[in-house]
Amino acid sequence: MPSTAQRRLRLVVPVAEPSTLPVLSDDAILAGLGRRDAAASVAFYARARPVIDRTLSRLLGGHDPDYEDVAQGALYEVVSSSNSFRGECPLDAWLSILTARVAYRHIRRRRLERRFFGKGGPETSLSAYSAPAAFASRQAVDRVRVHLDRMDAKRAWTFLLHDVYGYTLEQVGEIMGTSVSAAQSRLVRGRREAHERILTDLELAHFLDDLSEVP
Amino acid sequence: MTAPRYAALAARLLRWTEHSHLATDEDRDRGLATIARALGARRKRQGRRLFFGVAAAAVAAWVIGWVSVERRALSGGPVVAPQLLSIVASPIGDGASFLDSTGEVPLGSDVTLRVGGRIATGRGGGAQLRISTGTQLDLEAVSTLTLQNQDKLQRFSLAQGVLEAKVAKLGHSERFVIDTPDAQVEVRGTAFRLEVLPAAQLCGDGTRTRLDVAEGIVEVRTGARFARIGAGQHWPPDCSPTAPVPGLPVPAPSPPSSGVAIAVPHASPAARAKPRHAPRSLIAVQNELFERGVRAQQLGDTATALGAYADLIERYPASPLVENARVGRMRLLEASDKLRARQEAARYLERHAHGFARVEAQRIVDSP
Repeated sequence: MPSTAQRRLRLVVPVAEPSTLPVLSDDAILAGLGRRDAAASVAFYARARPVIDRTLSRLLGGHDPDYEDVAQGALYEVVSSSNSFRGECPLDAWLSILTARVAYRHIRRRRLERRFFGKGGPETSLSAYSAPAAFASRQAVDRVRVHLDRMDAKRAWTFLLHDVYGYTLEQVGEIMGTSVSAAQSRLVRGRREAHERILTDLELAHFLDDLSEVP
Repeated sequence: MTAPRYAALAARLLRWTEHSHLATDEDRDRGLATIARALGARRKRQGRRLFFGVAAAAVAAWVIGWVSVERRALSGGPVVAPQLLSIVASPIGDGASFLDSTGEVPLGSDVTLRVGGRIATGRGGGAQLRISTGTQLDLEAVSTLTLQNQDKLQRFSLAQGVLEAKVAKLGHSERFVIDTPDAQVEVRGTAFRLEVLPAAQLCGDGTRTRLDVAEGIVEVRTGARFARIGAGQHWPPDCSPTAPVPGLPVPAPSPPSSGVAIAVPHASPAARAKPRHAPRSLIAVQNELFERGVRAQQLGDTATALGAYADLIERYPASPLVENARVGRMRLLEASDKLRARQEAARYLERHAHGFARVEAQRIVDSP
């Protein structure tokens, strides 16, 4: 049986091997899209899809029943807007913001009890944990999600986008269609509400207290 | 603006959570159809705008009348294709493989790279890249680097492994960028070391990317965040700096072999760099102790297993792994020392009255 170190060194091959794709830079891909070049479309999908997946996996969860529909919607949105991309920020960041905006609009329309993560919930794999510790952490994550689901939706989303996923307030405003000051106000209130809800959940609070000892 | 305590801790927990989704071939086909649809819709919109634009221009020209204006080309001259830089790669140590649209071959000396070209090194392998700007990149063992762009924007992607870079001073509008699976590093004429770990760790919000800057300033972008890392600094700041890898021997470049498909050769374990040690969080230490006990138990090493479980229980009594450790001790002792097994079972029942092994523990306590 291979040792732990050898297992961890195994190369994970991406879905599309670079050798099977057209060899194009970002600028060439975007220019080719404008000309409706078939090779550019293939290259753009390979370029954008991982970023869309990274964003949606976090915001919706990898097993959300609407996942693929939202991913296709995000792809439509980024292609439609691609001729307005001027390189003011990295392409990945631009793709991520547009995708998050599509996900937010979808969540708002969806009338499900668990508003953020759908029925299945996001895959909560914590790679550094052994089975029992990972189980405890998954339970904690589930409980945090329950609290977020019960919060005011806009405050919870602002908290997630800013504090968990690292979007700036300007970007949060862009995603949620609101001003920076409104986003800031929701963030402050969202944090306070999350804190107060968790305070009443003694077991979760205790778990998070232990977590605070981790550097 | 700091967050209230539990909000901040909850955010931290959620950041550690890994999420995944693998797009299928079906998704890809659907995606390509979506792209075609979006481009079609965009063209229609542009067509309508163009029509109205032309119509408006025609009206304006008629209104203005017969005043003629001499137009000069706004660009001021012919369009010049971007100048491509020369990038040459050579193998180091046990060598590397080179992949482009024609296939995969062993990397020979002074191989010219084009966009899309990829270099992969195995254990004991390595490669050195020299760019016509004076920039030098050293790719270490078990690493994969792809050239994405080679004009004023010099861009690579490091899928895994370690890259040391000495980047020559950049001219006006020149950029040097390296993408990793979860971050983007942009440099401003500097020397740095970049690594992509095989798996996420608890520090650094789970990013696999590690950066140490020797000279100059490097900008790191992850998702929507960015940070500027100066000389002597390390990123992520809450992960300990990676230990330098011992230098690989640099023999004279070997001549390319004859086009046989080759798997990257495996070096002996001694040639592999010493494993680096991630920061030892409390949970990581607890996991390690528990896993040591489980491994020893599987190997039949009762003494080591009992010791590891006892260590965990004594040092981290509030750990979520303590119950499992007690059960492990109980079972090991049942086979070797019934008296101590009963004592262990009694302790288990005292502390975990509703535990998953209470029936088993009660049986051990009641046994003759």
